Amino acid sequence: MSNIEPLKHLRVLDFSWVWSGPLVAATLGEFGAQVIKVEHGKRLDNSRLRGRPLSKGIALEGPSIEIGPYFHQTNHDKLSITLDLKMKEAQDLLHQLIPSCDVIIENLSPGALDRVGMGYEEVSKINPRLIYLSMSAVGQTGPMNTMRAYAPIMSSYCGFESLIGYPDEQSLGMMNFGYGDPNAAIHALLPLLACIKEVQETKKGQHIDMSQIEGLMTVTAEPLIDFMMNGRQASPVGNRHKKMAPHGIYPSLGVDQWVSIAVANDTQWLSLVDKMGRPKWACQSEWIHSDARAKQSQELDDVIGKWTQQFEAQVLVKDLRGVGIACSPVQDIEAQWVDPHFENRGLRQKVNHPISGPEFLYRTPWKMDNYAGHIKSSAPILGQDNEYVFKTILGLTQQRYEELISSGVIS
Amino acid sequence: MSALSKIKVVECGDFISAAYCTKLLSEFGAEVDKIEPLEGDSLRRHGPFQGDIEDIESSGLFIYLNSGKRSIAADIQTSQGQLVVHRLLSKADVFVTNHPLQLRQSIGLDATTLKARYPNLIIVSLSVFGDTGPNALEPSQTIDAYALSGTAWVIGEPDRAPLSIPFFQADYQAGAHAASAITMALIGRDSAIKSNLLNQSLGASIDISSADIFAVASGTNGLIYLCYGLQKWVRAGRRAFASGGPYPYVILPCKDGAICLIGRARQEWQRLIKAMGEPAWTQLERYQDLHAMGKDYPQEVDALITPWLMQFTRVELLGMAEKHGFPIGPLRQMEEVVVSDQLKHRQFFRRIKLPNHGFIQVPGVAWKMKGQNEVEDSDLFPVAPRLGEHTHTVLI
Repeated sequence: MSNIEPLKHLRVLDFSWVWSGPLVAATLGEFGAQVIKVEHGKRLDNSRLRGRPLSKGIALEGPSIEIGPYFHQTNHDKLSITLDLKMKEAQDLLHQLIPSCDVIIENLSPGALDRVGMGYEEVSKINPRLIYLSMSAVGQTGPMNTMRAYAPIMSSYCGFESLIGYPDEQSLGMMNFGYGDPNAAIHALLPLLACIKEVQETKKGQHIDMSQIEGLMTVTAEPLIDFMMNGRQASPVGNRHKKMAPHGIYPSLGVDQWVSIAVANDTQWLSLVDKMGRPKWACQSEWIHSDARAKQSQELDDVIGKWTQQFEAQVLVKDLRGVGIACSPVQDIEAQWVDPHFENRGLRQKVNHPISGPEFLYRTPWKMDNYAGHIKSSAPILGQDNEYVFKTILGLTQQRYEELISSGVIS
Repeated sequence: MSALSKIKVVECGDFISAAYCTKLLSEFGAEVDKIEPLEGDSLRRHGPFQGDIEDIESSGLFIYLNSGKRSIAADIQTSQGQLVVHRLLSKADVFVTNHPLQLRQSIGLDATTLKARYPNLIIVSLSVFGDTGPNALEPSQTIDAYALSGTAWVIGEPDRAPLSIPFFQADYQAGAHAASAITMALIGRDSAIKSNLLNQSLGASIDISSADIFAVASGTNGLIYLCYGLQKWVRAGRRAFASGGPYPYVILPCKDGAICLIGRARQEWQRLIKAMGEPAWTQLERYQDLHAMGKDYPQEVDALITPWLMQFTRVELLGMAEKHGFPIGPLRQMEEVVVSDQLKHRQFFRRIKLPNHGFIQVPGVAWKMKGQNEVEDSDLFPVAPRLGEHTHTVLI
């Protein structure tokens, strides 16, 4: 069967910014939807304001709001229009577009879009089939509903950061790769796709009120349930595992070089002992059983670390995997970018940006056939699709279009 | 919500990732048959248990992830067990597995073999490394996803071991991604049917790797480090390295604990200054350049802010953040989160019946549907199946 892009006939208005919302919208674009990012000519998505990127230490040329790779990554496969939504005429223009739209995505403060005539109540009257995804920090309702948050603020607020740290020490934090954002995106994409599937039959739209902290709490169920059941307060566990030992990240030869090692059962433990040359300490009978090893994780980690640091990471990985023990190099981001495994899986796709030129963007990490998506374009230049959207789709005359620009409606 | 109410899902795996995937599908009405080994899923022995008393029917995490599913106990390595699997697959729309590739290949449950037999089936595998690439057949555990992807590298103290993130996050992410990919494929299948492509196979194969997922998450954020002259992203304890750009991006102490303080925009910094009562130092030129502050002397700025923070509790600081409009997050313990008014207002937790008596409380889902088909949900959810409770329905 030739590939079908599942969302080919969908039109999406994207009011979101930063990471979580734009990522959901970019994914829809990758799978065929026409995504229109609604921007303001001056108040920009702060992902456009991340500064001038460097390549091999040299600042790149071109307008910095257009050439940032972070913005490209979260906004590929989108059109860009620029409107001053505080102006009534701008709201009217969007209202004309609403009947032909299927989805709206926003991650602003609750109420922000209501104030510019784009709230769910108002737009669902124009188009009752519309699926409207709101994804705020803590949800549309409740006493904290206007809380402002970046990802680690959310993971602090919901108790997750307090679990990050070294064992038997106080909480450290922090998940500075912004776990809350991609986690929110995937937990918002799912109900959105379910609604997109359902609306084909019911013809009835939906307001999805997604809470990003609740998204984090659904994946930290284990300590939450333990607290509910036993009143036990979770604390940092570092790299330890409840049942596997040794299980952790150990030094390898060199400066700041590390490998992960996870010994899943007692047979693997014996293989590891063999690999280590059967040292006396490792042959102690009390360490034959995983429960006993897990109880003495610290002592175990110390001696394993002394052994691992004699070898280069690649040697350990090859040797331990060879006897069936999970072991990987702890890579930095640069190493990940050129890792042959990810490259072989086609995790990044080459696209051409009109100003930056050829670049690699991560595709949605699903290797699938028959209904696969692919990245068709990098991020849009600010306002590049004003003419197409307002003249071709909405049918404005050239004269009217120019009037709207000079009056600042199209900003 | 009944978007997937006609969809039959067969889950054949162990532990979290496959179970979380089908749990999410069942939230939208999918029917899930769970094939467990004769001794039961390992999650049944993982807990947490009430009073730490192990009981395969009362594992909290098993109940959370398997409420409302049917349990079929079968040894898939025997021909009898495989008969059970194929009986279920012959009527299924979706097959979800997280068994290792070698095992799947040896018993004919790999995508290539299944595709030939069930051209309309959506076949989904979840693993750490995925089914292709140089690592596909290597041994793996959840921790490998953080190691290989660059995630662990950036968490922890600079002079100590990198940290992974706890409680099997990579498994949950694989599950959530698989559920979305399946729903995407089902939308595609609907449109193939609508376009009368019925003479072709309507199935698909989906290969989900948690290492891929974390590589994308960390790698996306890593792109920020290409900007601002921050060429290398390393771990920096309670701070994002070099503040990830402008100051602040840090966890700092306060009167009764700690708070996470992050500002990306100049206005956010100005609002914080206002909340602090505009102390004289904030007017100095040295504290105007947020990027220099973030990169070159963040500790110096921490030291200026901390005495002010130490006067207030987390709740008081959160109140000021609300009033003045700057982003702050109290570092809270689980016990504080569970009783928070926000979650109570949202009725986030749900109750699931225990097999014998009583119920346990577990997290609900991250979304509420407020549109036109609003249904009143009872907060008491169906029990998780006993081991093999529904085996007989397949054997008849």
